[in-house]
Amino acid sequence: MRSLARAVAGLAAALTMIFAAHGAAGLTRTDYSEVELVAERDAIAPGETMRLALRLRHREHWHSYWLNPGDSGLPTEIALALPPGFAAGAIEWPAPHRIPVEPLVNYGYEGEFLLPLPLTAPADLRPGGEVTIRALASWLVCEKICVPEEAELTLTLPVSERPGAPVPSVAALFADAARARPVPSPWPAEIAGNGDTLTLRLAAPELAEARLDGLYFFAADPNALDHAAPQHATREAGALRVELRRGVDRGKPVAPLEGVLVVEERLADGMAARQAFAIAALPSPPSATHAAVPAADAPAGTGGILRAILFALAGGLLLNIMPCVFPVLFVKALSLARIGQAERGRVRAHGLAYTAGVLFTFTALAAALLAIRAAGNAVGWGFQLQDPAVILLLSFLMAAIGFNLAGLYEIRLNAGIGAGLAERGGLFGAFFTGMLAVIVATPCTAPFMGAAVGLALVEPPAIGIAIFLALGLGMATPFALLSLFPGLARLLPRPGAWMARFRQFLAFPMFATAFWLVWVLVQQSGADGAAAALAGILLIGLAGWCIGLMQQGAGRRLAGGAAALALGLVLALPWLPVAPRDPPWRPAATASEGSVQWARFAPGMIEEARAQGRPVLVNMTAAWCITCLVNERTALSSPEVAAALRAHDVLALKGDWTNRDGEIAAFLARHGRAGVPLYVLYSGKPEAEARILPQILTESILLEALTRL
Amino acid sequence: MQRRTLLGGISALALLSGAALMTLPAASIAAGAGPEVGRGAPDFQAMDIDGKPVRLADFRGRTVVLEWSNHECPFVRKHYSSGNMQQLQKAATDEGIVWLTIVSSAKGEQGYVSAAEAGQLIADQKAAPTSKLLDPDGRIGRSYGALVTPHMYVIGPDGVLAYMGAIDDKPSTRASDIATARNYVRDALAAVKAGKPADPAVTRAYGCTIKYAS
Repeated sequence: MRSLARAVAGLAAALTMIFAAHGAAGLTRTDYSEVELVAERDAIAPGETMRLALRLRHREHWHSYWLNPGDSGLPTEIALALPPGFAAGAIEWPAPHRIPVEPLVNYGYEGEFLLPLPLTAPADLRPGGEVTIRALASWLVCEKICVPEEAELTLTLPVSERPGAPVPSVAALFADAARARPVPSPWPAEIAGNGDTLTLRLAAPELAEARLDGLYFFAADPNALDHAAPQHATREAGALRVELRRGVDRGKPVAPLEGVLVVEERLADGMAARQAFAIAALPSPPSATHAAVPAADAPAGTGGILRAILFALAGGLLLNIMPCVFPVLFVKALSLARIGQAERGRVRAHGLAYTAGVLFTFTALAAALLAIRAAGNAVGWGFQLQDPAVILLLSFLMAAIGFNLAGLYEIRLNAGIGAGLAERGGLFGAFFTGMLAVIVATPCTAPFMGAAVGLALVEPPAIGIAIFLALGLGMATPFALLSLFPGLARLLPRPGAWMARFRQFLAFPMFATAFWLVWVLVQQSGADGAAAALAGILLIGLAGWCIGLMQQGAGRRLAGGAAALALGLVLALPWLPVAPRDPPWRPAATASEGSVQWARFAPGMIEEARAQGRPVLVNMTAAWCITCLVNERTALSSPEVAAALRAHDVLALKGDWTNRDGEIAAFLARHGRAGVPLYVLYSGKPEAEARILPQILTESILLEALTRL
Repeated sequence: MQRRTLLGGISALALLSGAALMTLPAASIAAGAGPEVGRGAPDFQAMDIDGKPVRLADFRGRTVVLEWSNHECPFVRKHYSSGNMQQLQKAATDEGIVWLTIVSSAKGEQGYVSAAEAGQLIADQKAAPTSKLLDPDGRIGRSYGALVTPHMYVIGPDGVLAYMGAIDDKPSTRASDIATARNYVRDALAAVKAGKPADPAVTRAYGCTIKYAS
């Protein structure tokens, strides 16, 4: 997209040189930049407001700065000298980019871009003449080193009766700048924090559910945040939280925070869309309701991932004090402590081989899971958190793990195989002991593995593998440490009943996680979803109890049958019609004058309307699609677009793909798409080809397409 | 009774390990954030341009100013070509204040100078620091969280950091801005002399990024 824009701009620049119209002073070259004062239209009319812009092009890898330049640098300044009666507004800063300059981070722009500002002509301006606008622009341009540059620029515009035509040479750049300009955020924002950190909370169900590639908050005040600190984003039902590190202002009372949230979203056809929202967050008293939810935050940023990995590592360490692992570890440790000095080197090598064995097994498990996931995706399973069925199954999994930890039932595996291999001496034997430890420990490790499996299924593959590796590393660490420092064995507590109690205690975080998931489900599916989840958890508890009875040998056949029946019912639950709730933003039936009147998409409506000679605009959208949301708030909500739709008697159809819908999926597939947004414009002539509009819509694209009807 | 202690211990342990997990990533980031005003300034030792070792702790009992510099940076040039920095240095050293100019540019990067070049620069600029220290490996700069040139620090006679941040409140490269700017370093030195906390004590430094060794 960018390179296309650049190519268009390059072509346009060439055309400008050829036509060199309107007496503009043209390009000024400085050591590291090219700069020009440009206008959106080729003439200005009395009383008209149009965009004027500073067009900058920096040498490759050089950048200049945003309103808040970040850790160093200066914002670009434009001082205008206007003809009498003219008025200009402030720079409409496009959303900046993060420019890391180790160890700092700057906020700014590279390459070619516009800094637009609104220019209003006086109403009593006489058509026929010319006006000249002068500007003194100063900017700091940096790569590693920084050079202050400035230029005096002029632009002469003819004054016409009616607004002029768009200047083709800069149309693409103005469109880019309009798209990069932050849209007012539709979500309530709150800021809370302490001396060191701030938490920005956005009540944005769309953001919490969208598939985001990246998310970053640019604070407008240079003193507010530590620009180089990573920002941790976590999702909770219906909201997004961004953990921020305070900057120069740290220690001061929490003040309102303004800035730009930039969200990167991968659209269905692989195109990356960058959306910017202007945010103004007011301080809120720290609330207990959003206090840490155990381990269940879906990691959105690197911080979340790091936390998940740390949790996995801790989980792995915990495995060692499980009743079926710790006694073995204890005996091993004692035997290691008795080994003499001379044997130390061999013991160390064994410790490492054991670690390798554990890690190998965990990696193999992760790989197997990922293969299942890939196969699942191929046949169309969606392991996605927005799917209520997945949330439901995850809550079941967590509850089942909780019941197991509480001691309602045990997980038993036959671990006879492999024991022979492990008894073999040498490093090979130690490696197999590591592998075996993982398998033998399964009755205890399964609960923790369950949580990791859940995460691995919904997270990207690399994270899934990292989580499993961390779990394995955690499990192997105590033995590896003991083989390196056998003296540590003296520090180990004796095995005993405390291990069983600790295991029981761990059931509670699992139940807490299950409850949290049920709460998420309530947001998605209302009371019916909660009922299904709670009934399922009840049945799982019942089944667990029956399995427990069976394991103790009591009434085997009866208990087994009851357990099978209960589990069967549980498995049927996700496939019950759990009615997805209508998203609150679904278009109201009554739309005000001046806005587009959308009708709900249904197959057949398009053909019907075209048969009557009516053009049709189809808008396929979803609540979690951020690009859709921005398009609706900019291009699709413009009064000009609404007027043009009415003028052409266009039937506007909206399809909501928030909760998967077979008919919409079929429509998307017919147009070669797997996801939203999708905009299709049909002319009133049934034989004419439909036109697919770009996924990132602007008012001008839409108006141009409508005039061609 | 014993059982109760055991259970209490386990739950405390579980909660503690959970709490430790939550704070781990935060702590590792905070470590990179540099010193804090009101706390002891990190000690350091470096060679000055005459090859003599200089230790911050040796100046205990005297006020110390640290100035990060890169003579090729336009923001530094603003304060040297106008004579602003030299005047500040003279006024400070005349009062017995120690002024250390530190160059943290890595070898091959902008602003890097050999000891001889640094001496020549002092002569050319008619600068008056107590010492000029070379920190090409960036150890001192990183320990202070110095980000840009000029980044200024004022350390009180008690070794406690009193001010860190910009030289003044006009972030620009225009020497003409100096006349109307509020000089934070001068204010901080006056506050230290009067035994009062500097206000502001922390500002956002402006300038060129320090060209640290990677």
